[in-house]
Amino acid sequence: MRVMRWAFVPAATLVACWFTAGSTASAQDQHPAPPPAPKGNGHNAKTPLYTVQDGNKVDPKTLQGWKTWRAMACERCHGPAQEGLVGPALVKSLNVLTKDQFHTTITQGRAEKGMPPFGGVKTVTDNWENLYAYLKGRANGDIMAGHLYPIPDKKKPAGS
Amino acid sequence: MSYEHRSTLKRAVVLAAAAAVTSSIALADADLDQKIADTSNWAAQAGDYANQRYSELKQVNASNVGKLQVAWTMSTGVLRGHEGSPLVIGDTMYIHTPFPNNVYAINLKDQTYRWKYEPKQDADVVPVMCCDTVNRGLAYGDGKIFLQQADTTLVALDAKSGKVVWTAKNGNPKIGETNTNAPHVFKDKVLTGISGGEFGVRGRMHAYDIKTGKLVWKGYSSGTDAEMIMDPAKTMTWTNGKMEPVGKDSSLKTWKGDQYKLGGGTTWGWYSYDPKLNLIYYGSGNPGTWNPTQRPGDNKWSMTIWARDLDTGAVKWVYQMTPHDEWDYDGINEMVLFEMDKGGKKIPALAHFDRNGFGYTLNRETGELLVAQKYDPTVNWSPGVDMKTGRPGVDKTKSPQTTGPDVDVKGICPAALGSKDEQPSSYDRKTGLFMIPTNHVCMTYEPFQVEYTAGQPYVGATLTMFPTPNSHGGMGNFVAWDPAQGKIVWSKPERFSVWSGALTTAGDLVFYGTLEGYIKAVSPKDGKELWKFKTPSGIIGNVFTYQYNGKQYVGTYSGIGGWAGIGMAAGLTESTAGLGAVGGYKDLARFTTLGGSLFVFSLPET
Repeated sequence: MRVMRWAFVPAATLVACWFTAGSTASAQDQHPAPPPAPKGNGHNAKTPLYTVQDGNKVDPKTLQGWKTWRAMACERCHGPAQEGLVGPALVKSLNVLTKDQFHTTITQGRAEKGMPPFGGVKTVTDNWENLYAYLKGRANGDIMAGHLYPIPDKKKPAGS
Repeated sequence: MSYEHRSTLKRAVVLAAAAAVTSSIALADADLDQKIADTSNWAAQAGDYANQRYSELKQVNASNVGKLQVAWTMSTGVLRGHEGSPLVIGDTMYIHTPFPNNVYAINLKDQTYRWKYEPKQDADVVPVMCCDTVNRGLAYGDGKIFLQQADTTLVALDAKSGKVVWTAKNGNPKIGETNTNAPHVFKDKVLTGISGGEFGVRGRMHAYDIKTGKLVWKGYSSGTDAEMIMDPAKTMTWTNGKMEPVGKDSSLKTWKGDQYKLGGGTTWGWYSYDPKLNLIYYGSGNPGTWNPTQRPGDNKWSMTIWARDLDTGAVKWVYQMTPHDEWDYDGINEMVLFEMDKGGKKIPALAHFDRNGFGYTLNRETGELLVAQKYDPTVNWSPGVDMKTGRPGVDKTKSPQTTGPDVDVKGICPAALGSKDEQPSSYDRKTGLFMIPTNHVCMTYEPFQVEYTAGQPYVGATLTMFPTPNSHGGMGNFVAWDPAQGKIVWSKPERFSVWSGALTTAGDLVFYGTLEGYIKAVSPKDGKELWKFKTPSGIIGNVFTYQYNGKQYVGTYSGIGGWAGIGMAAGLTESTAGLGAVGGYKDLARFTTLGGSLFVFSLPET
């Protein structure tokens, strides 16, 4: 029998992804060098969608978005660097989907493609916008793959 | 009851003892008793009810094993991890495969197929099997062959025709429940557990009627006393140097709210049975999420050795080895029953080599703790077990509970896959020593918060694994162990974890297989290598032996996979994938790749 990761699972059923438990920051070489200064991007210059420093230190909401990605084990299907496995490469999808389309996809799933709905999971309903920010930062090439950390406070008080 | 002598006397004593105890004797096990007593057979996964993995056959012995050669081979037709072994009864060998769990009955005369059973299972079950699509093998009893399918269906097949006699549904893959364990036939029952400790599955043990497939009892690993079939006043546990009743709600009191419902305690290892005491023995797995701060309390009765009455499931005694687990040291490894001489007395003993690195010896009748010592000296998460309380000390620098979520704890030994995982040890009846296939691997462990979603992983930790540092550089040892003293007698380093089941024979030989694919024979005296042969793929199955037409054969499956081989088996490359095993075992790619075959060896014709 020819062996593939997904050999046993037809597209229409539950995901064929294998079980992983997290990701390492091992895919940096595939992405542009992280910028030296904090950078934002997004809909409104006054409230950036995310803030990132050194490529892997982010604002609290985006950090929560990464933690949601990790907690839901999304890498099982989308790959540890969102590069795609049996599920699509989110680094590409997030440049195509609107924020509303992202919200719909994640809450309702795509049964015909094997993505379960996550709308009943509190971690997702509470954090979907943070998750969107994280994934958009990945798609824009601003945020590195792998483990993220909080932006360290230097002289500012906590909660900046 | 002594396990040291095979004879019809034993069977007569067993039946007489059973008759004295109860009026409703089912003699359905007389068939398996007889098959086990015939040393030409390999009629149970461990060769017997005691999990000893010992054969009295000695045609192949230390002086001639160097001449062992291939007698015949077969493809299983399936790739990925081949655990367990075939059964041999008379002139028929019964072979099983990883998913899709095919069963073949082979005529030993010419290796033609007598019959085939090729189940149709929903492939949805594969994504919820954490650690490869393995199956640990078949059971025989009452003229039937029993298969525990991955999709939780337990099947009884007529041994002669292969026709389905009955089926039973044991769980629900939609909520992450699957099976990898072999079913076990004890008396008139078929015992089987459940897998899914990484999917928030609630562990339990089931006993089915061997003739009808009707569920006779089911005992959970956590929850109310009734669900666990515990009697607060009669179920005992080791407490302050003696056996004490567990008391009311011994499980519920050690969980926050109803977290016990996601409390794991799965039961996918190897079970044993004492016909005289009418007790079955097995271990329970991890308490659900790998993030310890999320489930405060001792999380009873995960990571526990269980002794249950075979007929009713009533728990006689329990012993929890790793309270409030922080490392995924599942307690499911084999419980080996043997008679031990200690202080001039003969003790009905039980030995268990846990994932947590401790080799335990207990009195299997009473549940008293006798020995708890490290069978790998590099184990560092605990300084030792307090023999009075039975509780292991915890080194705070190796404790993810202490440092909390999102902090990487470094250099914990052993790694989550333990100093030994399911790969079963063997008891040498001649020396009273245990032959143990071990892992020599350490880890980093970073827990994080997770929320339960039915059918999705419920883990919450990122791991990396690596060979034990400041040691011989390899990831395994084959160890000889004194269960009375709790001491390593000798330890033979191996390049990779020894992930196969050992076999000891009266020919003064110990057999095991390596992840590179070698089957080896070594001396039980000192581990000296006497013979080896390279099979096509890594070995994670259990070496077995049988006799046919007056000739002894030794066999093994060859086909890498399982947790150590998950990178290869599932095509993973990212180092923390496979719960950390992919990075740890990436060197395997230099030595082997996937395969699926059976190799049978014998001495040349003289």
